[in-house]
Amino acid sequence: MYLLDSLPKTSKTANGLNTERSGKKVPISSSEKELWDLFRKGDENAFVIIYKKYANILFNFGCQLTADHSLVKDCLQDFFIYIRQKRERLGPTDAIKPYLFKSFKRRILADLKKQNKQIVKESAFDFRKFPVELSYETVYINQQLEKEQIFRLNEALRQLDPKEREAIYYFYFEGLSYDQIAVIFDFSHVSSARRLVYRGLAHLRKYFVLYLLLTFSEFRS
Amino acid sequence: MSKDHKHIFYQLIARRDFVDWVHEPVGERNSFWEKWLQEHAEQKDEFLKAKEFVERLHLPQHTLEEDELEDLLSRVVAVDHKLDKSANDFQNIPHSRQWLRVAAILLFSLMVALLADKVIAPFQEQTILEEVAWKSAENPRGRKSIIVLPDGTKVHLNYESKLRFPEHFNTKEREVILEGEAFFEVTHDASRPFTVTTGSLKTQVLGTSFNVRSDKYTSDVKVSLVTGKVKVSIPDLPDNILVPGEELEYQEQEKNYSKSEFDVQAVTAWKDGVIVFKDTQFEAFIERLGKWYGVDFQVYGETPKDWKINGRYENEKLEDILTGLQFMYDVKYKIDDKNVTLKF
Repeated sequence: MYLLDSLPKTSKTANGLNTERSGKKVPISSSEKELWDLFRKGDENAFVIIYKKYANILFNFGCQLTADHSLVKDCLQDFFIYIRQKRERLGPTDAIKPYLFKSFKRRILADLKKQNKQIVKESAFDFRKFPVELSYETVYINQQLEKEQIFRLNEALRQLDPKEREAIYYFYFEGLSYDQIAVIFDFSHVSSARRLVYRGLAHLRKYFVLYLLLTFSEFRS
Repeated sequence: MSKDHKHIFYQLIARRDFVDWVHEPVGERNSFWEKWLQEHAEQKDEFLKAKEFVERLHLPQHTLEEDELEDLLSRVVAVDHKLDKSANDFQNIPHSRQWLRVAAILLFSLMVALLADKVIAPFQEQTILEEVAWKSAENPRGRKSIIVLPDGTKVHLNYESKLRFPEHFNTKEREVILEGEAFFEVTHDASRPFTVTTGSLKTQVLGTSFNVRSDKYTSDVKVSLVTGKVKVSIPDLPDNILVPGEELEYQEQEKNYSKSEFDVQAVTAWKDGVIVFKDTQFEAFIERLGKWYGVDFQVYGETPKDWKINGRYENEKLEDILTGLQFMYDVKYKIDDKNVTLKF
């Protein structure tokens, strides 16, 4: 108990930002469904709520996919125009976020491809995005991970393939559940999403395990 | 012990509820994880590491300013009535391409039909076994099948199970004999009751769906009713009527039965290709997988004693299940045709 209280709360990290943005009024899924249904029926207020809630989240998401931020911004505008005009034809959903992520991602990738044809090879189309890492900045009173461990974990994070990185992004930074991640990746089974995250973490483990073994043997001796 | 320690880190960082708590340590989440920590006091180090890992995980954030957002919104709303060209793209698909789409759908349905033929055929072959008035269908380990009886009743027959049924049902009754486990979707026919005989126990229905499972060694039988109404008859005991969601378990040795509610999903999942584990211990886990996939397990090393697995696997390859396991426990696997080696 005292233990939990004494641990510092990070506010510098991305997680802090996310909670600020979406955490104030975390709607339960039923109200997400209601909000989405209202929007589909043409309720302008519902549209503005959805826009305010997700515009920046989607912008940030797009910027993880490409370094071309003005493209992301253009995409974002087109995207909201699109869903607003097609509102009646959109399907129902009880989780707006993965729904938006999935179609926004498709739009960004399509636009990037279009652009790619013109700019030939040298482009902003960089699959090795989602530069997840452990920050060294955060100061801890009871630091558990040693510098060396953080270094190794970061090495491992850099080795992840783009899909694993993307899944880890959804899981840690967007707070999505495994079944929501499955929706974005078009997996028919939740377990595939779980596997993707696990696989990513298993890679971390591969790089990390030697070090752990070392610490444990020291600990025992 | 230390073996568990190093995995708890990875188990925790893969848990949605753990990550949520680290991000927002409020209310019930706090009490849950405080309790967890009390119960796993020896894993405090790993717990704190996992917490720190989640907290330190960092990604550059990009945001638009308030006025940029307002600006963008007003531009979005402005497009209102004049139809935006880009939003209408798909209506401009040339006709030739629309035709292509139709052709693709037709081809696809054709393929489905062909495939269906191939898939269903082996099931039909199984029914042509005995020559007399009775036929039988039998599944070894690792195989499940669907049998459609002459009256249209659909029987999902599990592995290690056998169903015997007459070539034609007579006008008075429909009777089948089951060993093992099956899920029945009985075609309604009020004039001819449908009876499943399992050992000495008989389950009689008019039209309904239910699961019957009998144990080869103890001859115990479990009848689980999903829809409709069934009557279960046991010699020397009063008849029992079950209502949906109710199951009757009969212990042959003790000549005793009990009724209880059951989890429909858990009991009938197998027919849809879903394996469900609920607090399943290692031995039972291995046994189920062995029967399900028709493989033999060789286990080396020390198996975890407090192993309890929870999971739902839908039409998954054995390989994928074991890969998932590798992450949770310190185990290595090797699949060699029908032999699976696990090393702890």
